[in-house]
Amino acid sequence: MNVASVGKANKTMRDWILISLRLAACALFLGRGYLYLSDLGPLSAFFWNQDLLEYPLESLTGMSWENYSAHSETLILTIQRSMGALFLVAAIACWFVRGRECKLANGVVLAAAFCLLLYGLLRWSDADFKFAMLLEHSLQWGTPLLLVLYGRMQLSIWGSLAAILIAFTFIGHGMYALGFGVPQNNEFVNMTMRLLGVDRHGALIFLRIAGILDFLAPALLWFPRSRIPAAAYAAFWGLLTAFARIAAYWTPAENFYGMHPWIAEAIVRLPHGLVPFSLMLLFIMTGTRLRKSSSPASLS
Amino acid sequence: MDFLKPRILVALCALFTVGVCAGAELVPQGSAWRYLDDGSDQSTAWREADFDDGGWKSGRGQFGYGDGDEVTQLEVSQTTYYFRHTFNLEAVPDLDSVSLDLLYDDGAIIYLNGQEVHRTDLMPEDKNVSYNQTTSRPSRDNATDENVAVPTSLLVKGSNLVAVEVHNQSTKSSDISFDLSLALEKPSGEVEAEVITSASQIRLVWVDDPATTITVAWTHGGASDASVHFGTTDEGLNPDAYPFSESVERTGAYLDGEIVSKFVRLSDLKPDTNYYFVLSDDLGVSPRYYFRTAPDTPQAFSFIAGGDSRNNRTPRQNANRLIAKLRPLFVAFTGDMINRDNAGEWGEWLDDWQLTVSEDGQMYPILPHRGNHEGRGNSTIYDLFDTTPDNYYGLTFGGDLLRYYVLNSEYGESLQADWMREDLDVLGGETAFSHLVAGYHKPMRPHTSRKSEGRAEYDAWAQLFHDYRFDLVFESDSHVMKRTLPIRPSTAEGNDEGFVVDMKNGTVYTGEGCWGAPLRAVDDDKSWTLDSGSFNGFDLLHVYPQKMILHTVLVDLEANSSALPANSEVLSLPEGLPLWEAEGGAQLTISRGVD
Repeated sequence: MNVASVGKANKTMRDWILISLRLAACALFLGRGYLYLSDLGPLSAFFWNQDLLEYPLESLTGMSWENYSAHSETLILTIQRSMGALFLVAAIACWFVRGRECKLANGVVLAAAFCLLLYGLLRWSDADFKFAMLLEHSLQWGTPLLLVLYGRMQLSIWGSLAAILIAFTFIGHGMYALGFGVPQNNEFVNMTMRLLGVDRHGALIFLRIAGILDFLAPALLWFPRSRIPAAAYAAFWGLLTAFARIAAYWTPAENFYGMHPWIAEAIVRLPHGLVPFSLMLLFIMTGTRLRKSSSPASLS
Repeated sequence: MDFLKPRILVALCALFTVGVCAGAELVPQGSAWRYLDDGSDQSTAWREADFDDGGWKSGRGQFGYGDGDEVTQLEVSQTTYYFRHTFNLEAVPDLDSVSLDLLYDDGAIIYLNGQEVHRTDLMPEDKNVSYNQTTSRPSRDNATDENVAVPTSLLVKGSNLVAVEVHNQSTKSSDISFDLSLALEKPSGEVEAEVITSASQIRLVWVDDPATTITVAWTHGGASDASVHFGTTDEGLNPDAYPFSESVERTGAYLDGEIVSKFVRLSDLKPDTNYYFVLSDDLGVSPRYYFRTAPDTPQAFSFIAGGDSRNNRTPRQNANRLIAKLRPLFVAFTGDMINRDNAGEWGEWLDDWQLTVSEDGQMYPILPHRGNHEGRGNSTIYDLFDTTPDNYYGLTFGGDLLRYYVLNSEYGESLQADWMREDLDVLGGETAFSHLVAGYHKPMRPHTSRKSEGRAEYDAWAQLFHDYRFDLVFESDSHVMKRTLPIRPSTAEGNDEGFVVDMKNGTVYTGEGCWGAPLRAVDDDKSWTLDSGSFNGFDLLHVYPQKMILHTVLVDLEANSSALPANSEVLSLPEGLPLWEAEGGAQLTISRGVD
């Protein structure tokens, strides 16, 4: 293959990486936007924290906590729905992100990414500041960041950043699957039992294996010989666990109304497969010598 | 461990002067007051009952600024602050005086029903005090605690007003403080006894046969040789006079010992009997408490169920005070006691639980359920209440009158379903008990759109509840209140979210969590919903062989609890008890097998 054809193939690959990242970010914003607009967001975890807010509330406004807690839901939901609207706008804007071009689109996506970072921090605080929850949300706020940074930095650095965010998410996920440092996630156990038709004991064995792989796969991303299969596994497993929620929770007792949060929750998790997929494409494009590929990714 | 240090100090150092009857509070510490902190001149009219304080602010004690311990922050640098609090009396107490406990800095004058009843040091003695009167000098301490006897002749039946003016030593003062409580004094002639013990936050738990066993639990304060002395006769504070004694059987170390709980498991008790007890350790003796064991024959009794007491402490405390007055056989608490699963929040919750103790020392066993905010796993409930390690179990009350299943919706629903089926089959199936009841946290079908469906609970338990003909199920989590018609799971045409009405053999689902929580809107009623509402409250059940009667008690207003008499008849509704007027009436009768 001559230099021109290699360059053309790499450009095609870069386009596919960009499309995959846009798709991941778009899915994330669409899903999270839908959940926020359906009032299934986490802002009440912050706004109803009596220990944190009672003193400033009463000293600044003179309003009693009892009065506030009985009448504050509308305000909280208004803020939450505003964030949901921003996510939907960002779902469109992310298709215009291309390196340093279109600053407005970049700005919207970054603003939405900041809201997702707040979301991750709220979930973290709601989970009693358990480290596993903080880790697991890395790709939620990190995916839009990866999209904006793609084409603006050296590919090797971008790839390392993506691998770190994937590792954080998978390790956080693995900690909940294993019950390592946190209580084992009861939802994981229920989903496994439903999907695989096994009893609780069988589900716990499966989760132990899956949890260990959640630790192993991110580590293998850093070894030249194993990085492509590791990224492929992470992409497969990320997509599978995203869709598992729909498959596991489908029940004839619930129409779409009952299922809609789970469909959105599945869409929100698509980056857990699409970002590893993007990284896999990058590994294929650069062979196994990522560290030597130091040129910025040109998207022009 | 830091939060424990003051508690240990308080426990070791404080002298609790108690009689056999502890004082009932007319105005509890930390009550809600109307107050004015704008520095204006209110002259004297504000002391009178007919004064309109509608434009004043409201807040809870302690009031002040500058010390860091205030609940309600006052405007700084005013000379005078005004406070008003109204409470109701059904009858003037048959006592010479009531006990007023005042916390203040720098000076205060107190009026009861317009009459001055106390003027602190540093205030001018013989003159009318104007709104810009400062104290004669700064007080020596951050705040002074003072106890005053107030003649009951100043009290009236019905509405009573306490009005207080608190004066600063100057407008440049760095702090000011105010809180006040008013309590019935001990009946004259009672012998006072000094009580010192390192144990605190005493609570009772039922995990085994409620007719013959109980677990006495408390927060350990550092002393050793702790034991519970008990018997069927009230022997006051003399541990040696009680015929029985049990020592600590298990120690629960919550969060690696940030709260250390001691558990004494009493057994071989007589059914339907009062047991009086004290705790003793190498430092001293606790106040005297008592509890009543459950009957082992089908006798009527009452119990209370509800959950979610996080992030709204005032209704939580109101609800707890109502427990003390309604005197149920037990309390089923369906999870989310706290917001964050840490020692600080549990410390507050366990302190607040002491408000459930009746004025004569009666305590009520709790059936603690795990919620999602007990987020450190099953160990939280296990280490604080000594339940089963997986937080699920069943209890039988009144012989074959009622079996209650404490379920854990945060752990292995299908596992618990298998266990429940086996348990019920061994005990004789659906006809073995007059009533079958279950409680858990996560609702199958929340009545607010802000919560997702409880799919695992529905799949594991809904059919089982119907197969075994459960009468009643308590749910929580949503911060709303609901009552359903009797329903059964079905996906046949006409179902609504997997349930259809079955007036004869269906199960009533109630609750959804409002023991003291920020409120969500109810916007997701089903075709089988009887009624729903957005308020704080709990369910009160009266259990009879042929039926159960359900009322939902409102707890948002403190006046609701303070207006009630201290001693309600167990199976009656005290006059003035605020009830939810749900569709179909405040009372819902649940009769198995009756249309």
